[in-house]
Amino acid sequence: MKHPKVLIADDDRSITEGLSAILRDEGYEVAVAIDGQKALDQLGTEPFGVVLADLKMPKVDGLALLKELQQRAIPTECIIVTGQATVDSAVQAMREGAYDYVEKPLTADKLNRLKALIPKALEKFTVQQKNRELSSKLEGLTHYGELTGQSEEMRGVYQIIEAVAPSNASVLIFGESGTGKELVARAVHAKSERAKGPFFALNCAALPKDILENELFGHEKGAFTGSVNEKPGAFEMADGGTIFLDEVAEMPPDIQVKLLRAIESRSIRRLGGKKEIDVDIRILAATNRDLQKALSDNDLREDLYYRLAVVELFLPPLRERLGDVKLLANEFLARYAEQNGKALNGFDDAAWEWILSYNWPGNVRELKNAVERAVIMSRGDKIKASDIMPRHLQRTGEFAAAITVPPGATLADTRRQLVLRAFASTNGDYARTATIVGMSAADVRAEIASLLNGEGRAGEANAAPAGNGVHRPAKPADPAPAAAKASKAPVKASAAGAKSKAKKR
Amino acid sequence: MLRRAGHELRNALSGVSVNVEVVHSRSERGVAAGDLTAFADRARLQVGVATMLADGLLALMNSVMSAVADGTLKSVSGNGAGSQMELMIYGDRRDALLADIRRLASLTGVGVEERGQSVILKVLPEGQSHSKD
Repeated sequence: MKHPKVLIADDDRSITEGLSAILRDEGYEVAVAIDGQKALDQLGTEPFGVVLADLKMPKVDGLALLKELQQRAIPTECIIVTGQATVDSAVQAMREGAYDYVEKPLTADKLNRLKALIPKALEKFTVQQKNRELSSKLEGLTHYGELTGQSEEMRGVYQIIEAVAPSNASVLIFGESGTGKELVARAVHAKSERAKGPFFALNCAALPKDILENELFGHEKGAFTGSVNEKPGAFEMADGGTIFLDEVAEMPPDIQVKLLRAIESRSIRRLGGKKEIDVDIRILAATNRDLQKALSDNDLREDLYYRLAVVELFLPPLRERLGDVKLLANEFLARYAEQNGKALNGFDDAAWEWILSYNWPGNVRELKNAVERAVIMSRGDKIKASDIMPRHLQRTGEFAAAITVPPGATLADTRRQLVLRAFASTNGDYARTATIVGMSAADVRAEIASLLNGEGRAGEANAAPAGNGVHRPAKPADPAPAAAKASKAPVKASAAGAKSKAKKR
Repeated sequence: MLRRAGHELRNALSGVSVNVEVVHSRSERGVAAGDLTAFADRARLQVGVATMLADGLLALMNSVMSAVADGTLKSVSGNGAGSQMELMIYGDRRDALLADIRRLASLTGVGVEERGQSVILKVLPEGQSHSKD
């Protein structure tokens, strides 16, 4: 809404005419309703950012108007103007959702207060309006950029991306391996004003220290033995765009210092170089580490953390968004069936039961690989449980051995886990499952049916295995001096290469 | 009746204040006097309403105090809508007092009935009046 309007609901013409003139002089577009019912009618046909409602009006009074606004979910902010400034009526008005109230008579002081209240109420309305538009835009969305998911958790992720993308703020993305952190980074870049600029992804754990430094900052000719040509680094190549630093907590400490300096000064110096090169970049970073631990272990500098984590985004593991498992599995099946030229007609019931009961510690990546393998291995027209189960689990059956109940899980969550595990372990035998868990077969059917219909709530799937690593981020409570950091981060030798390719999950 | 009169006074004073504020702020910005007349008129009208309310309240209080002193306050009953009071108003100023009370009554949603020297004031339900309890 470009110009939020103000509606004055009052049956006293001498007040509405004067108040309209005052508010028009303030730059507002103003409409008048001479009673509460007419105000409701007008609010039903066009949006008003603020309603100034007299408490006492014919037909529908101010309080009744407030109640109706709530009941009909009409978005607006209501300021009650009352000649009866009793505590009771004011409290009741606020309880019914009024933004504020002003007492009559509207003396110059009270009019000034009203003039100050209206822009604040309009601001609140505008922010909420934007949130409503965003929510309705994201409602029912199954894909966002290269991300797939329609669960509440993923809609929350999309909402944060929408909000943060247009800014230049650094974003630190947390999430277990395989949850799609780079896809989130790509989505932030794609939704930003830098979308036409380069997106440069670098895995900080994939490269030895010297190579990582060279990749980040580049080098001048002759900087070291064998450097026969100058080479720009990631910062220069991402100029005007976005640089994504994956597994940033694995970056060696002395490179973290250089990175911090580059972020603060927005300039870098190549290895062996003397001149500062200005860079215009946005930095996105990700980690799958327990951040508290990484900070307390001095693996991540605290000052760097604060620079990177202007906005924190937690990407939920797949087991916490069970509603997305079916969507993802079906999508991967269609993709790999087409790629492999197979005419597959979905998963059979036992396969679904297994897919929905397994906790997918490798997250979306593991599911994707499992479906790809199942498509290749399948012999019939449907994927079977034996096609999709990892071999080591097929041998041991250990997936059904235990469940873990996370703190905060409800009785219903736990019951569902028990039913699913028992169901999977009996190869989809309702009667045996019912005997094992002590429920009726009908109840077991209902429980399984609700999951198969995608009604499983987040967190109702299997709990995370103990010590699985990533926790939701929390700012460090007791910052340790950055200078005290001495430990070296481990360097993974087998990780993937530097420039990553976009992969549809 | 007094409570209703109080609210009506607040309303009238709001009308005065709001319209005077328009005249004040626009005249400061050099808006032509002709464009301010409507607001000035509305403020003047509301001053008239406030005056009527004040006159009516004074007339009612004088009449009630005289009736109490003379023992001619016949009855007072009820509370809020439906409540009523019967008193005698007499003497040289009866017509003037009654005129002020009638104007007050019409502005506050109160019925006025004369029976000889007696005057019965009855607070009408809100739906039958503009006024607000």
